[in-house]
Formats: sequence, C-alpha cells, structure tokens
Amino acid sequence: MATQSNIMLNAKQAQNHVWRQRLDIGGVYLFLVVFSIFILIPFIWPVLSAFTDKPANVSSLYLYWPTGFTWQHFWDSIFGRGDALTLLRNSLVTTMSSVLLALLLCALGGYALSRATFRFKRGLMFAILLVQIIPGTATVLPFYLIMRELGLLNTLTGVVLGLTAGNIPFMIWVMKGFIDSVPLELEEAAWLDGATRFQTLSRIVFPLALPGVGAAAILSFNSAWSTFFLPLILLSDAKKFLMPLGLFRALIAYTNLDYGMLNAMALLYMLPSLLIFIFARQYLIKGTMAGAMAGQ
Amino acid sequence: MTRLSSKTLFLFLAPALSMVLIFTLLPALWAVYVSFTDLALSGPKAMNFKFIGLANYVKLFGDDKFRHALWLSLEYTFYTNLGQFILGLSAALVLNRRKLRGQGFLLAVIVLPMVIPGITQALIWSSMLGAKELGTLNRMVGLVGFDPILWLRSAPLLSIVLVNFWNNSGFAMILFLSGLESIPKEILESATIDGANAWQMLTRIKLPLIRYVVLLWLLLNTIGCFGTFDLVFALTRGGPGNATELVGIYVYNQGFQFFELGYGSAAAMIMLIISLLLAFVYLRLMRVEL
Repeated sequence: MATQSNIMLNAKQAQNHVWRQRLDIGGVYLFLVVFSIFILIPFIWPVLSAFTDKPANVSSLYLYWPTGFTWQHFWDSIFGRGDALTLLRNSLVTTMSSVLLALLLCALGGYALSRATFRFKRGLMFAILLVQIIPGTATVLPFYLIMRELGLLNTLTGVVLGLTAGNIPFMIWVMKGFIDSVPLELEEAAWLDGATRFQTLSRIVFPLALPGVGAAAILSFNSAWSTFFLPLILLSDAKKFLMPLGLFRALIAYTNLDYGMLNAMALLYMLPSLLIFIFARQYLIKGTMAGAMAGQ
Repeated sequence: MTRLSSKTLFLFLAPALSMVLIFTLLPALWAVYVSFTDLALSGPKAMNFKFIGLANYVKLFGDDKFRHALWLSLEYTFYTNLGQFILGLSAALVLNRRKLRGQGFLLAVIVLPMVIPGITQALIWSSMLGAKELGTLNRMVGLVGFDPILWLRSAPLLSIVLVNFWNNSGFAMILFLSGLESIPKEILESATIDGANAWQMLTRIKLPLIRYVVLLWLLLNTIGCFGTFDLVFALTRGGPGNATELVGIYVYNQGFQFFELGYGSAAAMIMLIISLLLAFVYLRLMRVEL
C-alpha cells in the first residue's frame, strides 16, 4: 500500500513538474512574442504607406486601411521630386570609396602592426582603440574648421575622408587580428622563392585573410552608409546630399509632406542594410562582438 | 627578412595613421585650444578672436541650458541602461540553453533595428509617437484603456528612451548571450543538484560569472549615450524647447545655430573628458596590454 501511494505521489509530483515546465515555457514565449511585436510594429507603417494608396482625408503620417496597392510612391521618389537616384548615387559613391580606402590603408597598416616589433607598438594599439571610442560629436566643431581650411566643405571628398578616418581604428585592429592568423612561415617560403614583400602581401597574406576582411568591410559599409552627422555638417548643396541628409531635409520641411514617397525613399535607402541583415547577419553579430571585445 | 625594416614599417603605417591624426586627433587637440578663445563661426570674432582663459568654462557651469543638457544626458543614460539591461538580459536568459521553436527568428528580430540607419528610425518613430489617438503607440495604449498622450510633447525623455530600448536592446542581448554561453555547463548542473532555484541561479551564479561582459556593455553603452546625436536630433532636434537637448545636440547647436565655436568647444571638452575617462576604464578592463 505504502509503495503504491508513493508511486501515486511521485506521479502527481511529476505531473506538477510537467505543468510547471509548460507554464514556464508559456511565459518565455509570451515574453519573446511581446518583445518581437514591440520590435516589428514600427515597421508596419513605412511598408504600408510606401506600397499602398491611402483613403482621401486621412493623414499619411498614421496607419490607415489601404485602398489599393501601388508603385506610385516609388515612381515619385525615383523619377519625381524625391530625386532618390541622385541621393542613392551620392551615398553609394561616398560609402564605397571610404570602405575601399579604409580597407587599403588598414591592410597596409594592419600588416605592419602584425609583423613588426617596435617599441611603442602596444601604446599605439591602445591609442588607436581610445580614438575609436571618442564620440564624433565631441570633436565636430574643430573638425568643421579643418575641413574648411582644407577647402573640403560641401564636397563628397570631404565626406569620404571623414568617413574613412572614422572607420580606420576599428578596421586596423580587425586587420591586424586576421593577419596575425596567417602563418609567417608561408611568407618566408615565398621570400625564399624570390618574392618581394609586396608580392607576398598581395598574393599570400590578403587572400588568406580575406574572409575576415570581408566581415570587417560589411560592418564598415553599414556604419558609413548610415552616417548622418558627417554629411549634415559638411554638405549644403542639395545636389551633393547623401540619402540620410535628403531624408532629413524632407522630414523637417513639414508642410505638405508626402509620407508615402518619403517611406518609399526610406525603404530604398534601407535596402542594403536589410540585405546585409538577411545574408550576413552572422558577420554583423560577430563583428559587433569583435568591436566590443577588441583587444581580447 | 622576417622583420620589417623601419622604413617599410613607416611606409605601411603612415597613410592610415595620418588620416586618424588629421581628422580625429587634430580636431580633438584643436578643440582644447579653441575652448580657451572666443572664436566664432562667422562675424568679426571669426577672424579676430582672442584668448580668454577659462571664461568659457566659468560661463558654462553657470549656464542653465548646459547643466540641463548634462543632467538630461545622465538621465537618458541611466534609464536606457536600466531598461536595456532588463530587456537584454531577459532575452539572453531565455534564448540561452533552451531549445525553442523559432529561436533563430526571435534572435534575428531583436537584432534587426541595429542595422537600420538612424534617420529612418526617426522617420519610423515619428509615426509611432504621433500625436492624438492616431499615432500607433497611442492606438496600442488605447487597446488597454489608456488615454492618448502627446508623446513628444508631454513625455519627451520617455519617448527617446523608449526608442533606445527598441533599437539597442539587441546589442545588450548579444553581449549577454555570449557571456552566458561561455559559462561551463557543469557549474549550472551542480547548482541545480544543490537545489538552487532560478532566481538564485541568476543572482548567485550567472550574473557574477558574466559581470565582466555586463561591465563592458555598461561602459560602451554609457559612452554611446553621451555621444548620442543622430536619432534624437532627427526626431526632435532637441525640442520641444530644450526638453531633449542632450549634450551632443547642445554642442551642435552652440556651433551651428549660435556660431559660438569657442564656447561650444568648451562644452565639447567636458563631453570628451567624460568619454575618455569611461573609455580608459573600459580599455583597462579589457586588459589591453600596455
């Protein structure tokens, strides 16, 4: 009898346990679902207003019941007054130039930091990290003056140089790390065969470090692509505006704002970021971690 | 041949370092100098500026708007850190070591806002925080029976903090998650056998073991909050009045609204010093070898 009641008791306990676990999992899902909804809800409006027609007498700033699907907003933003093509072209040219320039400079610099031994190397690495952490807003006023002295105000070159300088500290660290992982013996073998330092660099070291370098390039691209502050202070000529500045100017114009068109532009602008998110999310997460944990 | 000659070394490093020198370090040093002058962006003081010693700094600490900006940045930092910690840690705890259906999807969703450019975030949230009963957030609180609020007018700080929860909790989450994943399984198992409940597991075992990651996140996030500009500026331009004028926006306004480069640079110096102090602690914690 005693054993039987024990078994009964155990069974009841086990059932209790199962229920608690189910409740537990339920709570977990509830939290995650609510959190995801919080994240996703803001995206409904831009998509809705970019792709659909709104009923008359309704403000396009708010959610509405669409009356039909349309490409009109995209048409307006590209061929109409949105002028999205100019903005996108300016953004693409400056972003790509700055990423390529930073890659080139950091490949050389990272190689030197990886292979060389000199007295102030650690101090230099430390200083580079410190510079990376300085917020751009803290140095913006003299930065503006320097750009003015160099005659780079209101030029895309100025934006490219600013973006590149901003990208270098992070990228040179990443480059050094990846070049560290390429064995020196491989290079030495090539030298014995008569290759020069530049040849080993371009034919052996970089190809081997490429996957990691790609991840760094993607991160730099996204950060340069998103940059708003730099073009805001440097550019004044609407023909040279980058996408974020164009969107900002349109956003603060207030009167007669066509949010459908604005959102179509915003979606075009977000496209590269979204593609990176979809296809290279792992790199992005790893890169963010590497950035935060630099030096470990 | 294995060692770089000093000439090659210089050749390789010079381009990258000179870029940083000209566009980041020089401005920082120049800002120190300018902060002791009455330099203006235009007008007579743009050319004939003079050295005025500590006058800018004295004026700064008597300036209610600057004290307001500094205090606001502190409040903003405090609330965003608190909220991100709770949200990020909860999400990380839930996603760690559990086999959940749709786990990858949920992780992706939480990280998504991190890739969205600041200006489009501002655009998106101008509809969310929209006035009256039509704004998306007001419709949502309406569902649970609250009256609509003029978010950006009556609760400006809360509004920008809320947007920060939205766009940056993913960062806290992935850092915490990486910390939790590095805790050895045996430690957790032995604690379970010893009868520790979930709360004890969290406060006595998990949090102490990931305290390092938490501290790193805290420092990085604090530095980030003090430098915040893009999103808040695009969303409110510091307003209404100066209700969301964070230090970064204050500096920008001094320079580009009032053309007071000397005075603005003094404010920037305070900001720079705070950031550098935090950054220094961060780098020491990272145990970057010197």
